[in-house]
Amino acid sequence: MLFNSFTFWIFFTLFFMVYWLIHQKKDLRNIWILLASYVFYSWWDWRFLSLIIISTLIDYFVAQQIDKSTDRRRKKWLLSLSVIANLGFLAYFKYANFFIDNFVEVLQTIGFQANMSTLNIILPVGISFYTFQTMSYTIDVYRQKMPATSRIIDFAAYVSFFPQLVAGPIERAQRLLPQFLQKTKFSFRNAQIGTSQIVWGLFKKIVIADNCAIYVDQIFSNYAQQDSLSLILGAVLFAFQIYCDFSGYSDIAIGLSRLLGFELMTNFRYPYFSRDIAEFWRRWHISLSTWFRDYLYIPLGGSKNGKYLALRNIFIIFIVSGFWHGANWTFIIWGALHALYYVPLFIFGTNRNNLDVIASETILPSFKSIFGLAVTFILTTFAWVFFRSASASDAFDYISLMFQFQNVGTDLLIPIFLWVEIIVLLLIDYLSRKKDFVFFENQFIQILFLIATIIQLILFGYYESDQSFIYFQF
Amino acid sequence: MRVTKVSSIFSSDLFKYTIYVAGLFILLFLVLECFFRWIVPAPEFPERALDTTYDVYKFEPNQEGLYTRGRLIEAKAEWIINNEGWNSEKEYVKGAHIIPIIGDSYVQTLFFNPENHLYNLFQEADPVHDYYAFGIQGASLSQYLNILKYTVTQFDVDSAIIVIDEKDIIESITNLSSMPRNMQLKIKGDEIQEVPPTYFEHPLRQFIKNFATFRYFYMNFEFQLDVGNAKVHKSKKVIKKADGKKQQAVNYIIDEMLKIKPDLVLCFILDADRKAIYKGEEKENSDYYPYFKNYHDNERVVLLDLQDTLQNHYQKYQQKFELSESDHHWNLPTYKLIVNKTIADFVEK
Repeated sequence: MLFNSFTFWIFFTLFFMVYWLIHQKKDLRNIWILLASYVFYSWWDWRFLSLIIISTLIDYFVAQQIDKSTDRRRKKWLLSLSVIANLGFLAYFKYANFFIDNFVEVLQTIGFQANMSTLNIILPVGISFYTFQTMSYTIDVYRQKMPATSRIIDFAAYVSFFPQLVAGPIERAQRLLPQFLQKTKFSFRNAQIGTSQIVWGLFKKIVIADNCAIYVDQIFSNYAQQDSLSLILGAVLFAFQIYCDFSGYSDIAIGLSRLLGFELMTNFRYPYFSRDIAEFWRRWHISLSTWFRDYLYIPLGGSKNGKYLALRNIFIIFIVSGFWHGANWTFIIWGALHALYYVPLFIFGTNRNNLDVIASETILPSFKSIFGLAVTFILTTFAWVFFRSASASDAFDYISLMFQFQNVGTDLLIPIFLWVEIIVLLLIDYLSRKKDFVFFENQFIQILFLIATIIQLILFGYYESDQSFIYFQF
Repeated sequence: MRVTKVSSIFSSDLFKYTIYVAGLFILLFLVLECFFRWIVPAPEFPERALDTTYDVYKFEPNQEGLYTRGRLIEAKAEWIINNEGWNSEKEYVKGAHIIPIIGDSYVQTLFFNPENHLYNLFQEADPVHDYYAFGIQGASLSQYLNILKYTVTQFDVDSAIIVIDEKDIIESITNLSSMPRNMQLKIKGDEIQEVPPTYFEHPLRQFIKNFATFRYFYMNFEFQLDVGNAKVHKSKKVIKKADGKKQQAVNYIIDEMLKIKPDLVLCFILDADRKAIYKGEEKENSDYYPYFKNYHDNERVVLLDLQDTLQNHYQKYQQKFELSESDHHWNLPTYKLIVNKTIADFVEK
């Protein structure tokens, strides 16, 4: 069930009505959330529901045992069990074929004849998201940052909470689980903001991402026949496609949760208004980057053990973060490239230069900010070529053709409305830059914004088929 | 206690939000209604009417409107319903040299401005005869029988051009779309009975048609506003059963058509299997031809099978025949091609 499908909105309307009828009874409410979340997930493939249930049960019981135990070694052993089980699922479903392929290739390179066929595995939707979410719970219990819960329904509802189940934000148990233990209260203001986020998220997905996808697919699948300008346009359009697809999903997820009285973390803070790569990573997929910071970078020592170890740690988290996206060298190179972008800032100590928002005190940004913003956009767009390409060699070929400048003109007919909509996106994002969401305090402007956005959805939305979200594959 | 509870519901945030969303929807609807009336005009559809004398569906006479298609109005055309209730600039009067063109939406051509209508293309190519179009969306071959009876009686014609496309034959036996607007054949063994069309336009559908927003959505988002006795899709079993009766139905209809007037000559234009052409499959005849081939040697029946013509044309020019990817009606060059073939193979002979 996709957020941009008619089925989902019927499902959500029915869910919403029953939810607020029974919200006073907390247990019943959580059972209702759990049931709805399982139906939501089963809509895609009911067989993989068992994975979520197993993952939930493992972390529920392991966390309880960790909490009860006083023996440090036993705690460690239990934590390892949870991590191995969760990463085991990920390794099997997501990375098995990658490892087999590469193992065979290495054997062949050193002269061995290897005959191993890849496995026929379907990647369960959202596996990288919910495994990270459950793992964070067990690790936090182990670190004694929170107690283990004895309420299995509440915990299962937290793990499978349908608005953010398949593509995040990856919520920490410390933040979201307590919300399942409390009574929810409907807040008019929250619901207004939620509605605004949903409409804006749909605009990003249906109007921008799905329309960009038409041309991006055309260019990337046939890059050898394209001229330089088309290849540059392909990369630029993909930069907007990936941003709008993923942040659109997050906006809808956060908006839906607000309508249900839940508060999810901000996942994107207008990343294309970043003045350097460090700022970009403070604004892009925040729930994942902070997850890696808290559960990988800091345990590795962070930046406390000298510059060399810190550099090693930076490379590790960027490469692991790339690999998290998919079992392909393209993602690893993408991560490594971002590490390379980040390292100079770290070495010169400028990685925390831009902690505030662009033009925080002024209406327009300074020339220096615009320059930084342009450089950051060019760097990230360049890296997106690796992210989008089918293989590393395709990405290198794409880039070499892009810089050959053989033909400067382009035969591509990208409709003007798409460029206009991208400008609208940037304008609204810029106006909202000081907030975590797009919402105008002036009621008249807010209603005007909603109506204008819905009209754009009707006129320019792409509805030819149910377009899936890119991040579902991760 | 109870009063307090009720008042607390009305003062609650949830109630406020419900009002907010409802208000937003109403406001949105009003804005859209203005928007689709004046800025991006939604299509207007002519009102239909049933001529009970001949059991013929046509339009209410003397109406005008604008047809649009595409979310950003990729196609736009004016329609004018004449004194007799057909989409034509011409006033229909009894006279000599009239050749009626009978068909469904392919003849109705709501999507073209009058100068490109099929009858005008014929008129340009052959000024000797007077071409009248009798096209109504969704009509079937069985309904063409009623239309032919009407044209012969009203306009005293000696020949007719009948365009056969898409579901014309099967819909003579069963409804595939929503409204039973056609005379249909009830076939039981060798017995064939004509079932007259029943006029039914659900009041809700009628009401909804007044709103530009609904018309815009209906046209561009393929929504089916079928209510009442609507049956959108028949089961495969029903279609299979009807398929077995298609030959019997065609024979009956053509025989009845020929009985209308002793010297009446009929020209059937049979649409080609265009998908096969695009795939490069060479076919000798269209899919409709086998049902009509019994009349191949009948001197009062002319069969213009388009398979060969369109096939050769596509092989030569590689140009498709449709208006767009989503609209399978013929485009203007195809209409012109068909007109030239009809004039050469039928009218001039």
